Amino acid sequence: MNVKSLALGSALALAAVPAAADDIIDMATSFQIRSMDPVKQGFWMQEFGQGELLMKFQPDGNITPWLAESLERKDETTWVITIRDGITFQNGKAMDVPAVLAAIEYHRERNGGTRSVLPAEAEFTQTGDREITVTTGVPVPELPNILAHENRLMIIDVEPVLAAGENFEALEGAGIHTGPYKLVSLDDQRMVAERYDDYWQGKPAMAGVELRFVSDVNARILAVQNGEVDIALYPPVAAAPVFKATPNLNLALGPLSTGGFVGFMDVTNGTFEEKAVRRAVMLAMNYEEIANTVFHGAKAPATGLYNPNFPYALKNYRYDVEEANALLDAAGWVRDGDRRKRDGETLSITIMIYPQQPDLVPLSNAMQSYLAEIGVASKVVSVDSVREAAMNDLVEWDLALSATGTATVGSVSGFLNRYVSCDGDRNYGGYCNDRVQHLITALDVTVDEERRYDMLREIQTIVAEDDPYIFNLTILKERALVSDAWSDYVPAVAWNHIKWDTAPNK
Amino acid sequence: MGHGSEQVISRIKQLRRGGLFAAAFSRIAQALITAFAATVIVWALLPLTPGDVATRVLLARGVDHPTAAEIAATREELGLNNPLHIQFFDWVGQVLQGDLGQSFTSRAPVTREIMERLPATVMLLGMALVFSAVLSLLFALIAAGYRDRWPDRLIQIYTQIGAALPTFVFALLALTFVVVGFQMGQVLADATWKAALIPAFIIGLDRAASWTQLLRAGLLDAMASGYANVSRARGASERRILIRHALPNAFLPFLTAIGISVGALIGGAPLIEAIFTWPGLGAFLLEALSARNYPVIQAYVLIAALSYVSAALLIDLIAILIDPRLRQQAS
Repeated sequence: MNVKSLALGSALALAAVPAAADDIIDMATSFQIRSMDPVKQGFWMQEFGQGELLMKFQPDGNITPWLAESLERKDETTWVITIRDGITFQNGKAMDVPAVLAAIEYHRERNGGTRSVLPAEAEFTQTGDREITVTTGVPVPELPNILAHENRLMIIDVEPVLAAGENFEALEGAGIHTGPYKLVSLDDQRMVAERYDDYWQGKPAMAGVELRFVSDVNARILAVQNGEVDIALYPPVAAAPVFKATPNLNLALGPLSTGGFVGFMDVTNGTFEEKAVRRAVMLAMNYEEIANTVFHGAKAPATGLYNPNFPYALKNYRYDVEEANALLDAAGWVRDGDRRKRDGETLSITIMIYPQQPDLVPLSNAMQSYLAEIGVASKVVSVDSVREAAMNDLVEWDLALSATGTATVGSVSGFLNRYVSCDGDRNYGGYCNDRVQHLITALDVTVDEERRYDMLREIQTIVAEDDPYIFNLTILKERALVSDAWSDYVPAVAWNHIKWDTAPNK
Repeated sequence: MGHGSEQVISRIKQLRRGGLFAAAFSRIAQALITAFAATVIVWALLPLTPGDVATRVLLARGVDHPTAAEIAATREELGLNNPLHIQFFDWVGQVLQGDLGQSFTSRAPVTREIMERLPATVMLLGMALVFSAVLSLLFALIAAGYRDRWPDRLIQIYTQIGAALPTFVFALLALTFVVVGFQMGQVLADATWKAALIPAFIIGLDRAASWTQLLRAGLLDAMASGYANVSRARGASERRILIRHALPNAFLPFLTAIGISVGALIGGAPLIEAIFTWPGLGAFLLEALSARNYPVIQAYVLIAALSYVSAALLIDLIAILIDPRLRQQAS
């Protein structure tokens, strides 16, 4: 915690009391929704109760129907989607098969993210009143995840969108979504949405939503304490004890996330060219202590590359200083007081972090102390963007830390192809393991679940034990800062912050 | 008379030499040159910041995973492939036609985006300036009137704390203890007069600390001068000497400090606006810096520089108007 946080913390602990809750969900988030452009900004609409998807990601890793009634795989390249009956867009028009097909076509034509995961030869065809048959041409094993991803195929009423052209302001109040709250206005400061009375799951619990865009984390915290917002997103969990001691502030924790703080080791030059050093560093990390002491239990200990609740997740991380020391000894790095040396060279690493994730500061500090235990010197550098710095060698670094999902909405292939694959556009450390590469390529077209799990387990073994590259330091828990009146709020997975039944305590 | 007064007199002499209007035009020309120099410096420094501008711009436009082709097209669209000096002169050419360019991120005219936010910043900083001037005048008169007695000592403690604490720390503490602690206003402000009152008062209170010190010292000097002693011998009261004789003499350095502070206020606006979540130009600049939105950054620098030099010019003119002795000395 820095001086500013401490000053804020002590001040918070002394300060006073909440305002009353009203029938609007008042929420603050750090990111601004810039427009109603369904392609570039549309994903936000899933997060705050406006838009919905055909499928929904669940905390246990399963994908369940949402706007779809069912999704059935017929063979390796054929799927059948049945949509629910009686759903309407907020403008009153029916969400029928032609409307869903139009939305899918709209995204496939304009959204690069959608095109990157759905093969060009894939076809979506109406085969019944409520039935869409999908033929993908090549196997697309992660189709359920694609349908559950907020940035791929949001179901919208395309007609008003096309009529609006580039004038996205015209979509405010146009009711192009199917969710419980209809967006009525959007500016630099806030988004306002009102209850959609004909919502298909029932009457939404609240009269509306007011979402404030507040980039400063201290302002978000104070706004909850001052009773101006009920829920603030993206709180710094290292300040959990401060929240606990402060009136009207509660750190609400939800299920485990699909990501965590991930460490990427630069295997192309410097310290981490040696596998023994990479493995020793992973063994030196006290994962339990990071989660329970550094982050006060607001994060979960990393046990492997994936959320341990997922069926394919291996729990292959260990904290073993003795073995770490033995590995370095065997590699010829001789202990010399507090440090290790070989041929006159001191064993040291540079940890790279970025300021947008304030929790990386206490994490990197803890890592430095673990590294010191095995005689590895370290320093921390902070950059604007880890991706830019790592991919363009803007600074010297050995271990980059980043908040990254390893299986976003349960999809593993996106992460593996971008971050671990030899030619991945975010392969920060220049890693290229032939076997891992083969498995990633095979995984992309393997539909059989058990075979996929076996492949994933082998990948996890290689990247953690045989040829270490990438590892979780901690698994995130979904979290939010809430007022006393909202202390029962449970942060949801897949950024679905506001649902139709989201409401204050009874 | 202090150093500040000498500076003002020197500038006023220049004003008097060629007539008031000619001199004012000369000062405006100087102001424009200063603003131009500031933009040149910033333009030269911006490319030294790490990271690819086109990638940053695409990320800010909501393109989360830009491809190499998209990055290349954006670079072409923004004119980033041109040599730096060509980019700069293109921008200057636009500015001379009253066009501050197009935002890299929103593609909207920068002038329009700035004009949407400028009133909020002017409201907050203007009110803060008024508060600081009034508070420092009041505190300095009390301190000088009660020299070495408890009101003076109390005010001195305040001025020392105010001068020592950085504005953002002062603002953060005040926001936490006053706004939240006593439920006096909103943390998430809208750009209204009512919402501006507390942030403006807090900024004003912080800024007034150093001005109070300056004015108090000037007042005490003047109170100890020969003409003050003559007035005393003629039977004038201490209050009359303070208000009628000491204050006009100590006022010029105070006025100069206010002029200089306009620049500091505008420079510090991003941090202050971030703390108070004030929807003004400062917050807009922070966003632009992160996105490497050069036209917006340059426009902000230009406005800050012009505001600073305009304030200095205005102070000179006010000084002439309020102090007949100055006009005499200058001519």
